[in-house]
Amino acid sequence: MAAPEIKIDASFSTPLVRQIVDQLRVLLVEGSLKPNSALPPVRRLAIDLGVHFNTVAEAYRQLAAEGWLDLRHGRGAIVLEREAPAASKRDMAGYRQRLRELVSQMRAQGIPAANIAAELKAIAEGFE
Amino acid sequence: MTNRQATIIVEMAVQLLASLCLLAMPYIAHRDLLFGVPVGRGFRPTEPGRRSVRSYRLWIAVPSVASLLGIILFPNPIVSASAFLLTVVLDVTGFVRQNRKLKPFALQLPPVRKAELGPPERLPWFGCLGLVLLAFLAAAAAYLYTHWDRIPVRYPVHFDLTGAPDRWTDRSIRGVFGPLIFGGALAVWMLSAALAGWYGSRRFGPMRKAMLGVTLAAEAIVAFLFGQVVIMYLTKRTSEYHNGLCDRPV
Repeated sequence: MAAPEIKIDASFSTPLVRQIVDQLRVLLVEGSLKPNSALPPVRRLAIDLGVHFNTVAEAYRQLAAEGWLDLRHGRGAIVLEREAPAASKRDMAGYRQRLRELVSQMRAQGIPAANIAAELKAIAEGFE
Repeated sequence: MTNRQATIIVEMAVQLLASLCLLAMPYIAHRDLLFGVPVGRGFRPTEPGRRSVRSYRLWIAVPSVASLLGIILFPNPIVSASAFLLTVVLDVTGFVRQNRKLKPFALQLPPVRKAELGPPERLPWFGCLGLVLLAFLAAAAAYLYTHWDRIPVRYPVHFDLTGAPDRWTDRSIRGVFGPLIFGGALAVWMLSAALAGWYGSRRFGPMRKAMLGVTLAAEAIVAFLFGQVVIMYLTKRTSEYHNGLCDRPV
C-alpha cells in the first residue's frame, strides 16, 4: 500500500503551517496514519516540501497540542491513539458558522444543494 | 628516457587530465543545473548562461596552462604538487563565483509540492560499505600494531615507474600509522559527504542513489590506497629489501 501524501500550495493565501496541519489532521482522522506509526522527521518533511524546518516543527507541535502526536526528543513524531473529545457548544457554533460560509460559497458557484449535502455526508461518513 | 623525464610526463598527464575534468564540469552536471544553481534546461544557450561557462573556462584554463608550464620549466615535485593544488583551489573558487553570479537566475520552487509520509527511509544495502571500509583501515592498523617486529627498521614507501623504491622511511609511529590516519580521516570525510548528500536531498531524487554510490566508491579507492601500505610494509618488497634485493645505504 502506498504511503499517504500531503500536498501544499504556496500560492494559496492559507499559511503553509495551516495547510500542513489541516492535511495531516485529515489523514489522522481518516485513519490513513495509524496509531504508533512514525511521521517523517521534521527535516526530512521540510526538505521534501521545500519549506523551512520551523514550519513543519510548528505544524507537528500544533498536532501534538491537539493530542494527535507524541513528540519526544530522539524518537520523532509518533501517532497516538486518541479518544475524540466531546465538542463544546461554542466549538459546534464555530464549525456551523464555517460550514455555512463554505456552503454559501459553493451555492454561489452554482453547485446544487443536493450535491453539497451528498458531498458533506460522504465526507462525514468517510471519517467514521 | 630518464626517470625524472618519465615523472614529468606523468605529472603533466595528471595535470592535463585534472584540468580537462574541471573544464568538463559544467557539462557533466544535470541539465537543469549550472554551477549548482537550478536554472532550468533552456538557460545554457542564453547569453548569461554562455557568459558564465566562458568565464569559468577562462578561470580554469589560465592556471592550468601556467601549471603545465611550471612543471616543464621547474621540474620539481613541490612545484608539481603546488600547481595541482592551485588548479583545484581555483576551480573551487571559480565554481563558487559562478554559483553566486547565477543565483538571481535560479528557478523558484513550484508552488505545489508533495511529500510522502512513509516510514523513515533506509540507506541502500551498499550504504554500510562506508563503515566496512573504515573497519578495513582499523584492521590494517591493528595488523601493523600486532606485527610491529616484522616491519623493517627502514622500508620503501614510494616507487618509481620501473617499480624500484625511490623514497624510504624509518619505522616509527608517525611513519607507519601516519598514512593510515590520513587515509582514515579522508575516508571519514567522504563518508560524511555521502551521508549528508543522502539525507540532505529530496526523497526519490533521480541522482540520489548514484551520488551515494560514487562517493562511497571514491572512499573505497582511498581506503584501499592507504590500506595497502600494510601489504607494502610486510610483504614481497620488504622481504626483498631484507634480502638485499632493494639495496639502499642506511
